[in-house]
Amino acid sequence: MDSEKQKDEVTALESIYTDEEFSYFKEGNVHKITVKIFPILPQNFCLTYKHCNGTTLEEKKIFISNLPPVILSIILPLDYPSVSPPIYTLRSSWLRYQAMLKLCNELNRLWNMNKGQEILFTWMNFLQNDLLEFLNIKDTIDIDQALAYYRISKSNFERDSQICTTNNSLNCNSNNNHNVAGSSKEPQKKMIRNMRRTRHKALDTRVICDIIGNKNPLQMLIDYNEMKSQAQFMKDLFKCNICFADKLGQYCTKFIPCSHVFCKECTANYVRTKIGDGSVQNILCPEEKCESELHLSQVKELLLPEEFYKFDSMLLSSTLDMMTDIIYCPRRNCQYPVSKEEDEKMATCPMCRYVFCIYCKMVYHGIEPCKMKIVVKDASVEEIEELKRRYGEKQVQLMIENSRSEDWIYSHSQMCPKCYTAIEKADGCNKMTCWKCGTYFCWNCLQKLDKNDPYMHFRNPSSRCFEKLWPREYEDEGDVDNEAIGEQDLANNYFRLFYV
Amino acid sequence: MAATRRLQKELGDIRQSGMKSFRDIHVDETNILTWQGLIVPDSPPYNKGAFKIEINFPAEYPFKPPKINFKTKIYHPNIDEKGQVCLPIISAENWKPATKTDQVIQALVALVNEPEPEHPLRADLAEEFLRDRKKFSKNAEEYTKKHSEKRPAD
Repeated sequence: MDSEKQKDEVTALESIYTDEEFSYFKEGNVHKITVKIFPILPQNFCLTYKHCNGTTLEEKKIFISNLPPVILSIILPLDYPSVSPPIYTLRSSWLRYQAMLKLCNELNRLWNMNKGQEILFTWMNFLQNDLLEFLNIKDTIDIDQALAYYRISKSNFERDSQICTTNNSLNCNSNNNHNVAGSSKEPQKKMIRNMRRTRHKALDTRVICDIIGNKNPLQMLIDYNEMKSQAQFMKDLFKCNICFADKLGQYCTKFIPCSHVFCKECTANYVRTKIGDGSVQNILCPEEKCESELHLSQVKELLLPEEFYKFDSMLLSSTLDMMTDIIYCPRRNCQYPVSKEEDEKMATCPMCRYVFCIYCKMVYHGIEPCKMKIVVKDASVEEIEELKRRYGEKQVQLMIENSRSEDWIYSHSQMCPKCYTAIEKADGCNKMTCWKCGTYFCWNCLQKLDKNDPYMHFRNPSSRCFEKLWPREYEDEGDVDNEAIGEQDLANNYFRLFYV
Repeated sequence: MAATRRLQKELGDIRQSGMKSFRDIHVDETNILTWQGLIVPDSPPYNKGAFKIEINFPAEYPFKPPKINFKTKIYHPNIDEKGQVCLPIISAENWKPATKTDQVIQALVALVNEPEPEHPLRADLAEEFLRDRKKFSKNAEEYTKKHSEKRPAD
C-alpha cells in the first residue's frame, strides 16, 4: 500500500517540477530523493557585510538576483506515509544554523499536522514559496558571521599548515623521505575533519551548513549569482535596438555598466564600421547619449581573428600616435614603433637596429644637412633616373610619392593638437573635430577647445579668434566651389603624418 | 538588407504615431532610403508656414547616419541656402546606431523652433538673431510667408 502511494507521489512531483528541482533514484525498494529549492528573491536583494577600511567599519552591499539552492535530501522509509515521516537532511551554503533548524522544525510540524498523508508536495511548496518570509528575510542577508568564520579558519589553517610544512621539511631532511606531498596533506585533512567534527558536534543531524572554512562565502555567492545570471541572460529574449529583431541572449552582447543589449551581428557590424572609419578608440554603446564602452574581450569575441588583429593593431597605432615621441621604423618589413628623444634627429629601431634620420628616414647622416626634400623635389628627369640607378627604382619612387604627399599634406592640412593626425578641412566653420581622437580644436590657431563649449573660443571677446568662427572667404563667396570639393574627395581626404 | 527592414519598421511606427510636427511622409516604394515630408513648426516666426525636407539614408544605415536637406527655403541661422542643416545628433562623430529617425526628427523640429546661433551655418543670420531679435523675427516671418509651403488644415 505504502509503496504504491510512494510511487504515485514521486510520479506526480516529477511532472510538477523540473529535473533540476526534483530528482530521485531507487535503491532496492527505497526511494532516495533530492529536492533543490531555488529561492525567488525580491528586486534589489543584497548581501551585506562589514568591511574594515583602516580604522572605520563600512557597511558594504552587493546586489544579487540569485542564491544557491537549499537542498533537501530525502529517504522514504518503507512504511511512509502510513507510519514514519521521511528521513531528511537540509543543506544550504548561505543560511545560518539557527535558521535551518527553524526550517526543520517547521517541516516536522507540517508532518505532524498531516501524519499518514503524502507530505513532500506540502514541504516543497512551503520551502519554495514561504522560505524567506518564514525566516523573516526581507531584502538583505547579512553574511558577516560566515565571513568572520572563514577568516578565522583560514588563518588557523595557514598557521597549522605552516607548522605542518616546517615539520615535514625537517622530516624530509632527516629521512630523505620522498613522500613529502602525501605526508603534508595528511595532517591538513585531519585538521579539517577535526574542524568539522567540533563544529557539528551536538548539532542537529538534519542540518548541514555548507559554510566551511576553506571557501570565501562572499566570493562563492557572488560567483554563483554571476553564473546563474549569465545562464538566465542566455535564455532571455531581447529586442536589438539596431536591427529591431528579437533575439535570444546567447546571440546578444551586453554593454557594461549600462546593461543595454544588442544582437551580436549588429554589434559586430558596428565595430566593423568603426574600423572602417579608423576610430577604434573607445567604442561606445550604440544607444543615444550612452557612454558605456565595449570591452576589448567583447570585441575579440565578436570579430573574426583576422578582423580583431586589424582592430588591435589600429588601436595600438592610434594610441601610439597620441604619444608625441613615437615614430615608426621606416623599414617596410619592420614598421616597429620607435621612441625618439626630444630635439634629436637620430632614432634607433630597437627591433631591427636601423639607425635613421627622423626627417628623411634614411641612414643617419650626422651633421650633414638633410637633403631628402631638396634632392627629390628639385631633381630633373635625368637626375631622377640617376637616383633610381643608385638607390633602386622602388626606393626613389617611394621618396617621390612620400615627398608629394608630404607637400600635399603640408599645404592642405593642419595637425590635431592632441594626436597629431593630419586634418583637412573640406567645408564649414573653424571649429574642427579630429576624426581620429575626437578632440575639438580651432582651425585658425590650432588651440584645443573646451569639450563642453567649443564655440566659446569664438564668442569670447578676449579670445584671439573672437568672431572668427567662419573663414573670410566663406562670408565673401557664400557658396563653396563644387569642383574643389570633388578634387579633395579624390585625394581621399585624410593622410596620416608619422613625424613632424 | 538590414537597412530596409529597419526603415520599414521605423516608417510604420512614425506614421502610426501621427506626429503633428512631421507629416505628409512620401516614400517611393522602390527606394525606402529616401523620405520626403513636411516639417510643421509651432514657434514663431516659423509657425506661419511649413517646410519640405528630404531625409537620405545611406546603404550602411543604421551604422552610418542619415542626411537631411531642406527643400523649402528657410530663413534660419542653422540651415544654409542649399538646404543643408547642421544637426549634432546626425553628425558623423556623434551618431549612434540605436538612434531612431523619430528622435532625429524631434531634434530637427526643436532646432527649427529654437535656432542655435552658437553653431550657425549662416553667420549673417546668426549675428542678426543675436544683435537684433526683432528685425530677425520680422525678416524670418516675411521670408516664411513668401517661400514656405501651406500648413496642413488640422
